[in-house]
Amino acid sequence: MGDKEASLEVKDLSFSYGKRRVLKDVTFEVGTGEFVGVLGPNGSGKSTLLNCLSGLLVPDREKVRVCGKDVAVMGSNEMARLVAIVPQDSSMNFAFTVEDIVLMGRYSHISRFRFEDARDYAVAEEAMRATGVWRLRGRLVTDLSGGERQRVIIARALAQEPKVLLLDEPTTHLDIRHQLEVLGLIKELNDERGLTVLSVFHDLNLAARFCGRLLLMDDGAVMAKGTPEEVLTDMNVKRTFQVNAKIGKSDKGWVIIEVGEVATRHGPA
Amino acid sequence: MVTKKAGKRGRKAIVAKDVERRRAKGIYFNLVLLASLIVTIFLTSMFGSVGPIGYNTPNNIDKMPPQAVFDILIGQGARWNQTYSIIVLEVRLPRIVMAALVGCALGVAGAIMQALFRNPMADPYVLGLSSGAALGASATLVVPITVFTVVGAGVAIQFSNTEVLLPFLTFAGSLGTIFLVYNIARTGGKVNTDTLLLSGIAVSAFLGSIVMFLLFVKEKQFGSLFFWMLGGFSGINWEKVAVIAPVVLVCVIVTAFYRKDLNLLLTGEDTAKHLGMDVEKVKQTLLVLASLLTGISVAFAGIIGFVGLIVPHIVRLRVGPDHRYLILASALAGAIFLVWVDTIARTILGQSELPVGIITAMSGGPFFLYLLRTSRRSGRWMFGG
Repeated sequence: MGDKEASLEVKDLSFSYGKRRVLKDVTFEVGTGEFVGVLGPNGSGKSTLLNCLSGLLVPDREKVRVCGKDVAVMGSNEMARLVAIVPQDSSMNFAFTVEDIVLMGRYSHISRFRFEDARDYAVAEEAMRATGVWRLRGRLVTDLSGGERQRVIIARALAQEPKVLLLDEPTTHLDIRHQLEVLGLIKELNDERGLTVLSVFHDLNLAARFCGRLLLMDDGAVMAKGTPEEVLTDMNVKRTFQVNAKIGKSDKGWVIIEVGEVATRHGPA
Repeated sequence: MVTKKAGKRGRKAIVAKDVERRRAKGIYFNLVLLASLIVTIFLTSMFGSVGPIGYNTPNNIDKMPPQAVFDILIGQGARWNQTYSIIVLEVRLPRIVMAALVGCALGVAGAIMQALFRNPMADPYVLGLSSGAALGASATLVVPITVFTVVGAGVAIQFSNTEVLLPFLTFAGSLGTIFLVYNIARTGGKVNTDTLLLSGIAVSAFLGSIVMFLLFVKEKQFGSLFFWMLGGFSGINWEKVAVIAPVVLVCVIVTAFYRKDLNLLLTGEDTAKHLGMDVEKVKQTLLVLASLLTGISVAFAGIIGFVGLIVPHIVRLRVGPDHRYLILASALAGAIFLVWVDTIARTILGQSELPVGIITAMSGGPFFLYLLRTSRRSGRWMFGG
């Protein structure tokens, strides 16, 4: 980050559900235009962290800042103009058209008392073209495949014109080709538009390939942060996931994790 | 292989026009409904004793010709018998307009609740709003009746305290009930729709039993109140229409301003919040609107079940789930439906009247069962597709 201005600042963030502390003094920053991946085993607090960043859970004051503004005191409308979220599951039961769904991204920009104007349509069209769903705009979302639907959701997020894009395991329900396509699209948006991206990942290899920096979480705390090489060491993987892994590098320079067997609990840490 | 590809390309070509076509379809459907409502008002004005359509034409008066009804409705009735004018304008028309307004209110209230709870089974009746309103109304049984006289502009208007209290009590009853049901179903910030429906039914039954108890205790008023409870439009005059009309129209217009909010709520509350909605505030506003619409309807027409359930569903089959078209269409379709139902109610038995609530429940009950069956088979149908 260094010289770059921070889009996301998290400082000593703790969060509890009742008595259970789910986040413990989490501190990190994401610079403008970065692509950061959040990794960690189930129950390590990744989703809670994301919910604190997106405003779904309200953190304490002065703990989370987006583009310099305190999330705890921001209204959802102001928040939606800064941060867009792509959830894990985008299944929809409602027969809206693709265009209707993408235009919903304009909600925070349109007052209740006016209709969408030319600019709203232009932004929505641009978002649909960027995500390759323009040709689908008249189709019903209920008729789309999982990969197409996830692109529509990303288009809706872009229509918000956000500064930061948060993703919660955006490719979990997709096959490998669509995983690469969707993540490639996000990387493209990150490169070309300088959109700041923070995404939760389950797949270590995908995270290593697409993210500039990684954040490894364990039991509600940040275990390691840095470049994929720094974070994804066999030691770190073993300690957080209890899995033996061999770390290598591909011809293209991507970190590759070859997962071995489950490490025994009492083995050397 | 080749034919499959060609078919796909063909579909793509159509797709670009789909958006415009859907929009045109939504607007067109609303215009058709508006025209149908006007036709409905003219046609249903023909029904009743003295005719043109109806039994029991009294001996001392000639059967009214259809032309007379038409002329009177468009304000050209001077050449016809004065009695005809009174029958059409003072007896039939206020009742038709009242039925239209109540149908409109219940249709919109149903559309609001189904979107709000993302559940096709939600309606003011099922979720207990109607029972709450009825409880509020039966509270007038307990209050001693006082008659006030207001003199102004040379006219003395007499009214009782219960008449004035009634709309407020029904509104308070329905609003209180929906907040109760909603909060029972709410656990950890999330509302489970199954729990919501079940608690709605339970609360509805509970409140219903209190109403029945009050009716039982106050045996003397039992007859009139029981009939009122079944829903109906007898004894409607222009004064009553003048009270309900502004409330219903304002509520429907305000709801129309929430069209985008309702669409967003359909995609889930978390998503709505992420897209910038102040979800709690919007939900509260919509609940108050639904309660107002239900409360004012119950105050003037008693409990008329299932209109709020059926109407938005039928409309959704035509225009899809988009509230830009659904709100107005539900209002118009609800009005048309209830005007016809009331016409049947006031004519089918000849001299006496059938309560409207009985007819709507007779048609609504089987429809509800049909929904239960089909929604289990295909969850998608419920919100259009």
